Amino acid sequence: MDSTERIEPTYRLLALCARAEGHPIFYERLTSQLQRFNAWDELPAQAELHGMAPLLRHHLRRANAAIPKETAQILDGLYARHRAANRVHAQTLLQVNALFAQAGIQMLLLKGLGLAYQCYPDPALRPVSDMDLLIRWQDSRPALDLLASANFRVDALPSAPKPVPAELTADSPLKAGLSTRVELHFHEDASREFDGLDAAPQSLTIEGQTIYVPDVLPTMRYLSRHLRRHLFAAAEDKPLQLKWIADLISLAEQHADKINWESLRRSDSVLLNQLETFYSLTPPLVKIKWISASNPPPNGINQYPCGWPQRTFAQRKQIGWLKFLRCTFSAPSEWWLRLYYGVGKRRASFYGAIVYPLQIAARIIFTFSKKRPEDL
Amino acid sequence: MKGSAIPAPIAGFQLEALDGEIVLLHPTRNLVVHGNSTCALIWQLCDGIRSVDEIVEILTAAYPEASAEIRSDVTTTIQTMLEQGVLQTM
Repeated sequence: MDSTERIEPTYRLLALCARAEGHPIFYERLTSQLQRFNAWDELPAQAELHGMAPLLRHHLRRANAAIPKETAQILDGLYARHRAANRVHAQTLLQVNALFAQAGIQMLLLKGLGLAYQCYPDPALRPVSDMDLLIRWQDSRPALDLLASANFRVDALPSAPKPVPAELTADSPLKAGLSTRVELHFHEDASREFDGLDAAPQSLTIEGQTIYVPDVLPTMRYLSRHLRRHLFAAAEDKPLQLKWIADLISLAEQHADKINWESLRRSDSVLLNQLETFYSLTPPLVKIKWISASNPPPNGINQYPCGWPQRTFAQRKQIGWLKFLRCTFSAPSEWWLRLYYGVGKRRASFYGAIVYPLQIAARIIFTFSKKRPEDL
Repeated sequence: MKGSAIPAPIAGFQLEALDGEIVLLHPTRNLVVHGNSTCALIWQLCDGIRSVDEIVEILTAAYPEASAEIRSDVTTTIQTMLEQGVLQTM
């Protein structure tokens, strides 16, 4: 019996497909799940909510799955829409890359668009909503000036040089009716979110241009941090998107032979435990199948805490104080805890009972000290 | 539909080809129209300058073996695309 059978069928199907490349065991499981799947009406919308519509379509087609015509047409339309959008974003990327290269500004392409070209057999399989670039803070003014001169609508630079802002944005002029939001991030960001990303950057060639992206392990660590940040604020109507999980799985599998897994186990058990949790829903490549050995899916998949910060303090009156407090401080689901803290099954309950409530209390105190309660 | 009618694309729609089929997309409107390669050809000929008669003439010259059906195919396709909101008549 498939150990994922108790999971809600649509999420289960989407989570199974959260990978760039299929393999025989994966397609066997996909075929088996599709035999009993009947939630076709809600599938495209859920796939889109998770940034998974093109990838789902790709795997369904590879599996020669017989699906209702209407579902297939909606998925075709979503794929075409993302393909057109990614083409516009890629044009913007090439434009910015050329501008920055001429001015001697070094940039690293982070996350979505870079991964779309790095890991996916067709870049349109990875929906992208914006473009994240990492540059030096000292280059921020010339970078914004260059973008403004190319008719981007740019943020104003802060008047004081410190603290370095988390990001500055520039919106490209419309191309084919779409604008690309360029988010400039800075190596010097005080949150240290981008630490380690500048070590040994790798090059990608897109339409003849060389684009630099961070090395594999730093990217995986960054994606893991990014995923945790989104998980903390995720809620039922704004779930942790499966496309982010697909990114991590795809990058890990693409470089499975080059990654020193033993060293990773010692140095970054959080990342490895997260991968183990993902792999409870989609079978790994045979060469790394040890990751999911005896790995039943955790309880509470796709379930999120329901207190603060998912709900604001202003909502406490509607919900009721006691319920609000109970939701805020009760332990999240095992799935959530294992993904957020990167811990195994045994330690998840300790983190839920002790670490999570303490962390929430500390965050509330910290936030209260800066804002009025009604703003929380 | 009159042969003198001049069909034109609604601004913003773009054609994407997918494995022998086409979809017409609008970047901001949540509307996707599916069609086949004949629709794609007719869509591309609807430029706001050519009339239906002229489109039929071009296609008849290109595909003389199908000349008997071309007029009805063109008018039906254009009518459908007008109803779907991706074409307008000038």
